[in-house]
Order: sequence, then structure tokens, then C-alpha cells
Amino acid sequence: MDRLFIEASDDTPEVNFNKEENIFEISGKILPENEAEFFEPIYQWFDNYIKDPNSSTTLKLKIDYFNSASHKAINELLEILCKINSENVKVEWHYIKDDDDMLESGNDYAELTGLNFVYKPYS
Amino acid sequence: MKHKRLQIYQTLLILSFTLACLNLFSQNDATGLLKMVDEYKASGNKLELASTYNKLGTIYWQSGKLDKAVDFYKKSVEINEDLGNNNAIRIICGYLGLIHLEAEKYNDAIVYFKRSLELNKSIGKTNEIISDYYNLASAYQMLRQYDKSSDNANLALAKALETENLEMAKSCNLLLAENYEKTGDSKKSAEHFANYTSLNKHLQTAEMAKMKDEKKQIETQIHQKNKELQTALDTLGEVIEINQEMQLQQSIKELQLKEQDARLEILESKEKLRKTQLFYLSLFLILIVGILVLFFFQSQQRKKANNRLKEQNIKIENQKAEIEKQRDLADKQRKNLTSSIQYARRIQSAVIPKKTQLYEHFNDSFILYRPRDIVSGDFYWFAQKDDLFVLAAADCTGHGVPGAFMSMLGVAFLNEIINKIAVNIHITSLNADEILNQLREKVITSLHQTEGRGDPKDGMDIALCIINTKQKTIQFAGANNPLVIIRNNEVIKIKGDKMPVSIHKRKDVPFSKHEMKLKDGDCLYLFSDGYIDQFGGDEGRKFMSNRFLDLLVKIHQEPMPEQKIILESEYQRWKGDFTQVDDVIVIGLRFGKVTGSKTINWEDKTILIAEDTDINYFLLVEVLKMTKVNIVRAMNGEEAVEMTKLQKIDLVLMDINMPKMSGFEATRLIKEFDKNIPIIIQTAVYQDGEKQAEESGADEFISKPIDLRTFMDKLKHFLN
Repeated sequence: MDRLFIEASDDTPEVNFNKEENIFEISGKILPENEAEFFEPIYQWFDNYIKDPNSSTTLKLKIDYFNSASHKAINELLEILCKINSENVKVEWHYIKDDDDMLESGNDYAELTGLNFVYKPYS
Repeated sequence: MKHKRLQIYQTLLILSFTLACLNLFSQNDATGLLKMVDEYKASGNKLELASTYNKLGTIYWQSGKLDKAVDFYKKSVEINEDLGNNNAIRIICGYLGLIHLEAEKYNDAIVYFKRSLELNKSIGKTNEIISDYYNLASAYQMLRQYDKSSDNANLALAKALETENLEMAKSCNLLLAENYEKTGDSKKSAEHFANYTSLNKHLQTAEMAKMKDEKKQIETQIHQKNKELQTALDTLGEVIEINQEMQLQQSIKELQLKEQDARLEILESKEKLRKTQLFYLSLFLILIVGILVLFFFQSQQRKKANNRLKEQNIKIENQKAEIEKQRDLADKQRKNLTSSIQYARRIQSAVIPKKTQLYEHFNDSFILYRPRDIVSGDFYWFAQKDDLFVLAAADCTGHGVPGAFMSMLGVAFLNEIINKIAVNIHITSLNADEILNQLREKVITSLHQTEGRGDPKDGMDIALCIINTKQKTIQFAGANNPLVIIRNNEVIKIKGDKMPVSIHKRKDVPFSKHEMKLKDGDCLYLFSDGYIDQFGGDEGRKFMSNRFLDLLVKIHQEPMPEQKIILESEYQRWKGDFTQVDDVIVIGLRFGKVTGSKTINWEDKTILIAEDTDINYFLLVEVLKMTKVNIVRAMNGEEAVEMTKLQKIDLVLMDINMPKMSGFEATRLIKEFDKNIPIIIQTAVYQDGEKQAEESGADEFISKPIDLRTFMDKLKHFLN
């Protein structure tokens, strides 16, 4: 399966999905002008991936900021992840240690989607 | 007969060499030789005798005494016949032939040549054979026996070609040509003559080449010798003699070279002259033609180039005009766009409730409203009926135009909901959660929202509360956004439900209602996430809600207007050069009696109002009446500047548009005079007040029509 790599910009995050190497990462700021446009290829890639997923999948999210629209978009992405019928699916939620808001967002997602969330504070 | 002379010359050369070996030149004495003849005759030395006879023959032949020469040569032949010396006989017969040729005794000559030929044939002396044939041919030719002459000549020619003796071949061809001419065979004559000329030429060029080669060889030799000279000089000091000898050799060689050169030149120049004349003539003609063609061609080219350049110029001009046109168009479009958005701002401003509405109910309150763009995605909203006051701070998806659209809908929907409730149900059953439920319903329906992935899910986050001033209670419902109450330095944070006012997984889950009692002095805060999500600080991080809450706790004792200013400046400081991330809205409100109202007393202060319009001036005077401040007026910028110099002014209220000197100019001048005098400029509502203030150098701005609260706050800031 082809790798999906999107370079980071001022408004959009770096996206690195690589099935062979079992890497699924989104990091940076998410405030695109048109979030539907930005996320569409990401959704599609993941739709494809879940047809034949690796034995374990860890989605690493290290988000500096996301606006309300991208909030929903991340939700959508997590929904796709939910479809993988496996125990070995988890989300790594990276956030700045003091950022309670971000931690809370992570908690919200965990609650909403029921996915296994691992919290990784960093300073 | 040129060829004959050449032949004789050749033979003489051979002869002179052989005789030189015999050292005859030193004994060029006929008488001496005759004596020796007698001697040798007496001694019977036939060999010497023959030799002496030869010498004598030669001497007499050289001096032209042909008869005597023949005589002695004949004698020599006799002796040689005795000796059996055929070699000598053949040579001498040759001489005899030649002499007889010279004497025009052709028949005798033929006899001798024939004998010589015979002997040469027997020995196999090819060159001599050729000579003999040739000489025979010559003799026959003189006798006009052309056939015999040609026969011999052909034999000579054949042999000459065989042995590649081109000289002889050449001579034979000439002879044959002459013969055929005489016999009237012009074709063969021409043929042989042609051969002769080509051979001649060939020989000449060969000769020239040979001479050139020799010359080159000699040149390199000289060069080489020169080199050696140098080395010799360097290494051996006393080799002057050798040097001189070498130099002598060199000069001999150089002389020889010069001789060669001279010969070459003579041959060359003859050819050259003929060729050069032809060459120059044709060159001249070609040149003329060439120049004409060139001129013509160049002028064509120049014309073409000019045309091309003109074309290019026109193209570039066009392109430039095009680009300028496009640029102007783009500028115009941009201006139009900005103007239209500015206009939109006015509409948005009109729709959003007036801040005064809040201030009237809650004296100690503020609204910090800072859109990211010209129009805002955040909005605040109030409604009031009797003792109930509805207060909401909302954050629509997006900012700028899309956000503004949403905000307009939000305001409209809220208005509709309240009115409907007011009409149908008694106002006291107004419920915060119900309002949000209905709001969500309206958003989903009106925007025809569906749950498909990628479908727009625009909506808003909102914090809405209903304050009952009589019962001192507060209701709260929130979509993602919280309500913060600070009471006695403690933070009470009531979180909103984790769902937005729009389509969502939980769209059917009703919003929760929170209720609690309020105490006098409680500070209430509603805000969107614009403030806490702002990037800034040293490390470019978000402000974050805990930092924000800490700040609120720190400042909550201050009067609300003060708190606003502090929040603004803190925000600005944090943000620095980072772009504003989102719209910002913070509403602060102190419930209950305002503790320790500070009455303003500015008796000791003087305000200068620079305002040419009377109505505005009197309005300001009215507003400021209760502060008891001293007021002086200037009618224009010039007066304003004058007055600041004449008396102590604590604050200047500067109108922009004044006669004689504008507010900008006056501000600048006053600041130059004393930069510490605070100046507040008055800007029109449609202008960007902050920018104007910055540009003019003023400290603050106030927009017309005057917002009383803000106005007073700003004055307080400078005068307290």
C-alpha cells in the first residue's frame, strides 16, 4: 500500500502514514481553510487501510492546536479507526504537560469513540 | 638547341669531377702534357699515355679546338683498344660523338654514338644507353631523318621511363615533339609536347621541392648548429676557434641557402607573377560583388532586426499594459472586497446587540470583543425580560466571512427563539437548556445538515446563562464552552456539554441545565476559546485555560473595566508577533452591588477638546459634567497645538477632521512638544480606530458615536 506523506505548513499538520513500517502519525497545527479538502485523502487512505490492517495499529496524534472544524475531522478519522475489529488498536495522545485543555480533548475523544487511548504528556 | 646544351653541361660536370680527382686543374698545361706524352711513349706506359691523351683532348675541346681534341681522343681510343679498356673507349666515343655533333658532322657523330651505345649495352650502363639513344636521335634530327630520329628517341624514352629518368624522358619528348611537328603529325607532336611540359613542370616542382627540402634541411641544420653553438659557448670557454670554424661553416651554409633561395625565388616568382595577376583581378571583381551583396544583405538584416525589435517593444508594451491593467483590476477587486467586508462589518455590528444593554443591567461589566478579521465568527447576545437577563457568548465555526454568516444566523435564531417563547409561554419558564436545544434544531434544519462524512457541520459552541436578578439565581447551559464564577478567590467552573450546536453524533441528546445561587460580588465570566488558544509567549505555546483562570483570579477584585484593560494587554503581550489564531470574546460581569464605587473627581485636571462641530463638543461637555473636570476648547488643530503650549493640559480629545490643521498633524506636533500629554483621537465608526491611533501617534482612540462606557474607561485610564 502506498505511503501517505503530507508536509506540514503554517495551517496544516504533517501527516505520515506508512503501512509497511507501521507508522501512523499526525502532528502539528490543524486549522486549514477548508478542512474537508485537507482531510479527504486522509480518510480515503484509512478506509483503504482498514480493509487489510496490520496486526497492531497505533495512531499517534500530536496536535498543537485544532479549530472546531478539524475537531470534527479528527473525530471522523477516529470513527474509521473504530471499524478495525481488533484488540490491538490504540491512539497515542501526545500533549504538552500543562495543557489540560488538550488532555481533556483527548479524554473526550476516548469517551466518544471508545478507543484505547494512551496519554503521552511532554514538556 | 637547349636540350643539347644541357646534355653537354651534364657531361662536362661528370667530366670535370673525374678530372678534378685526377687533379688536372692544377696541371692545366697543354705543353706540359705533351712533354709527358713523349715520356710515356718512351717508357711504354700505355695507361698513362691514354690518360694523358684524354686530358689533352679535354683541354682542346674546352678551348674549342675541336680538330685537335678529336685527334687526341682518337689516339686515346687506339691505346685503349690495345689495352682492351672498353670502359674508357665507350666514354671517349661518347665525347667524340658530342664533338662531332657540335661540329655539325652528324654522320660521324652517329658512328661514334653507335659504338658507345654498343659498349654501354654490353656493360649495361642504362643512363649512358639512354644518352646514346638520345644523342643519336639528335643527330638524325639534324640530318632531317625524322623517322630514325624518332625511333631512337622512342628507345631512349622507353628506357628513361623504365628507369624513371624523368630528365631524359622530358628531353626525349621534346625531341619527338619537334620531329612530329616537322613530319606534320601535329597530334603526336602536341602529345609529346604536352608530355614534355608536364614532365618539365613536374621536374621543376620536384626540383623546387627538392630545393625547398634541402633548404629546410639546411635550415634545421643551421638551427641545430645554433643550438650546439650555444651549448659549446656555455660549457667550453676557450673554444673560440671551433666557434669561429663553426660560424664559418654556418655562413657557408647560409650562403648556400641563399643561393638556393635565390634560385627558388627566380623560379617561383615567374609563376607567381602570372598567377597573381589573374588572382588579383578575379579577387577584385569578387570583392566588388561581395561588398554590394553584403551591403544589400546587411540593410535587409537591419530592417528585419528593427522590425523584430519594434514588434517586441510593442509586445512588451502590450504586456506591460496588460499587467498594469490586471494589477489595477486586482487592486480594485481587493479594495472592493475589503470595502464590502467593511460594509458587512457594519451590518454585523448593527445586528449584534449593543454593549450598553449589558452595562445598563450590570454596571460593573465588560465585553472584550476582538475579531480576528474584519467580520467575526464570535458573537455575544443578550435578551431581557423583567428580572431575567439572558446572556450568551458564542463561537461559530470558522472566522471571517464564513464565521460571520454563521453568527448572523445565530443571532437571528436566538432572537426568534426568545420571541417565540415570549409569545407562547410565560417568560419565567425560559430555560437555558431549552434554548440551546431549539437553537440546535434550528441550525440543523435550516442548514439541512446531514451526518455524512465530509458534509458541512457548521454550527457553534456557546455558553448561555440566564440570570434572575431578583431571585439571585443563575441557569447555565453550554455547548462545549463553560461558565466560570469566581467567588472569594475560588474558581467555580461549570463545563458545557461535549457537543456543539449543530449536527453531531449526540444530536439527540438534550443539553444539560445547571442551576445555582449567586452571591453579591460573584464575578461571572463567559468566553470562547479564542483567548486561551492564542499562540505566543517565549515558546510559541497556547495561552491555555489554567493560565487564563489564574489570571482571572488574580484580577477579579478589580473593577470590570480595569479587568478588561488588563486582559487586553496581557493578551497583546502574550501574542506578540504571532498571528491571531481565532476570534476572541470574553464577557465579565460582577453580580450584585458594585463594591466601593469610585466617584470620579477630576477638579484638578484640564481636558482640551479639539472639536469644530458644536453638537459633538456639547455632548462631550455633558458627559464630562459629573467628573467636574476643567474643559478648554480648540476650534482647529492649530489652536489645539497653541493651547497645549500655553497651559497645562492633562488630556487632549482630538477630532480628526478639522479646518486649518487636521487632528493627525496636531497630534504629531503636540507629541513633538511634549510626548507625555495623552491624546485620544476620535474616529468614525467605519474606520479602524486602532490603526488610526497608531498612525497618528495618539495614545488611544474613541469612535463616534461615543460609547460612553468605553469613553469613560479610557479617560480613567489616563487621568486616574
